[in-house]
Amino acid sequence: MNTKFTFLKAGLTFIFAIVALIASAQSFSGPSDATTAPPSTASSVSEVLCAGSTISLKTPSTTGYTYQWYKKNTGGTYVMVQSGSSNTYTETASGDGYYTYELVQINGTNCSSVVSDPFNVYVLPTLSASITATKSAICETDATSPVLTATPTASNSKTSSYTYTYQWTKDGAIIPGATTNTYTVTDRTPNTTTAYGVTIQFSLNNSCSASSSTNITINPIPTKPTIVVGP
Amino acid sequence: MFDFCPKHLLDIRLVVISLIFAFFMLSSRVAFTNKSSKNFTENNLQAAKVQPVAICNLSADETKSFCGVSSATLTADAGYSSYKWSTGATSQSISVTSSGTYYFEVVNSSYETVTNGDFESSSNHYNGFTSDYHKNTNNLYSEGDYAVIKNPNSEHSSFATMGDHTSGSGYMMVVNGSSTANVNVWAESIAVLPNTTYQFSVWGASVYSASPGHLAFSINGTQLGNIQLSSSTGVWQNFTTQWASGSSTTANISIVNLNTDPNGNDFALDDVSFAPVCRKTFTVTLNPNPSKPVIAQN
Repeated sequence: MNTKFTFLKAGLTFIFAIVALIASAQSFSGPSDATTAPPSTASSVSEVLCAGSTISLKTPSTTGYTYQWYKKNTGGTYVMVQSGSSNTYTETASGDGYYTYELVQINGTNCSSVVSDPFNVYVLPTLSASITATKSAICETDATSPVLTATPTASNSKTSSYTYTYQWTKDGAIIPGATTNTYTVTDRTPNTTTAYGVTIQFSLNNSCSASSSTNITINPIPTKPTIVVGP
Repeated sequence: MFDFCPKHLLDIRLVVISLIFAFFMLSSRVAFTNKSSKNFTENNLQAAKVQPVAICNLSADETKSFCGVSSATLTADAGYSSYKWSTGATSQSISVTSSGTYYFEVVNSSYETVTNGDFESSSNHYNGFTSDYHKNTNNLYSEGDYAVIKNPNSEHSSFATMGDHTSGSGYMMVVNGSSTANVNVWAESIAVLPNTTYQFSVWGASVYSASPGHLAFSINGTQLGNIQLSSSTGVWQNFTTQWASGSSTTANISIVNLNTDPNGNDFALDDVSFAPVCRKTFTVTLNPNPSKPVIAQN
């Protein structure tokens, strides 16, 4: 009889422990809000990060305190994602959108603070860049220059909701002043094929960028023919 | 498991006998606990010695911690006519604003030990106490006489017409003060629990304005204190004190009159009470909340 109960007790304890573990801190990936339009400026959120970045948060540490980290879920509810003595929280961003966190600290006498202000991280989508050229090859004397147009594409179909900065390069070297989405090739050095590149950056965080490049060939014109009297 | 060999039968018999024995132990215990009496009989006293806590039905002492509040409310157990807190408050609940140890005390009147302390005993108003005074149910004109009556004036034409303390219309002990010193006006020998605190309380009033009585109280020969009665008749005055039994198992309570003036010196006594004091302690900690945290990028 006692043995039976011991087994039952152990089994129940195990189940409760599992339930308690699941209930205590449920971590979940992805943004709290993937639908709201991007922030108009970086300063309107706490932090803007590139796609796939590690979200790393902290609060000043106090001896004997425990910290409860909360993350807002897509339903708008804050869910505890970490509880313990750690004053830091990290998570790898998975998908673009707003990741919103709150923190409660509990002191040694088991008294809780009020909830912190929300910390709102905006994670950008993956960016890709492409270049279209009006011509990829010209003759050295052509009056019409090739015009290169850089086009950003955001992975989240909100491409037009972002602003971008541009920097054109020529064979990898920055072209001073070439910072719009188009670049007109003025070089006419014949017999050259030059790689024109562009780096497109999100204005919200210019370290989140994409590059592309295209070759432009300048062909020499044949020499001026001379007419001579035949044979 | 059980085959009917004699050895196992013996085992079964043993089990049955043990069960019967256990049943009797249990039933005798129940009967013992059911024995409830207002007065301590010798048996109850023995029982109480084993579990002295039984005379106090208060909830257990509490340790209470509060977060982020400037005050906390402590509430005493309900059902008592009066409360006395360590803060001096007499309400059932108190509000405390600093950490510390607080307690309240109540008198457990369910364990009132004085027999006929209110002189209302229906069988005999003179029941329970002894007196060195002379009981006189006809009149109280002689010094050193007493009677348990409803109106002092009914046995002495100069005494006040006044009600008792219990209800205003019940019995009280009316005394014509003796000119002899140290004579017990009222005495009762009471069985008490050792290491228990009791509250002694008595009410006295002058029944004649001249040379009012001066009552002194003692237990087992130790003076508890005294009260000088007012010269205004019919004004009931209370004397209350606590007494710790220590190792004593008997409390010989006596009331004497320190005034030996034969002229006047007439008074009434009522509602003599001697009951255990119960105390509950609260250990309160008012903790501040930690400050509102701030999240920063790491």
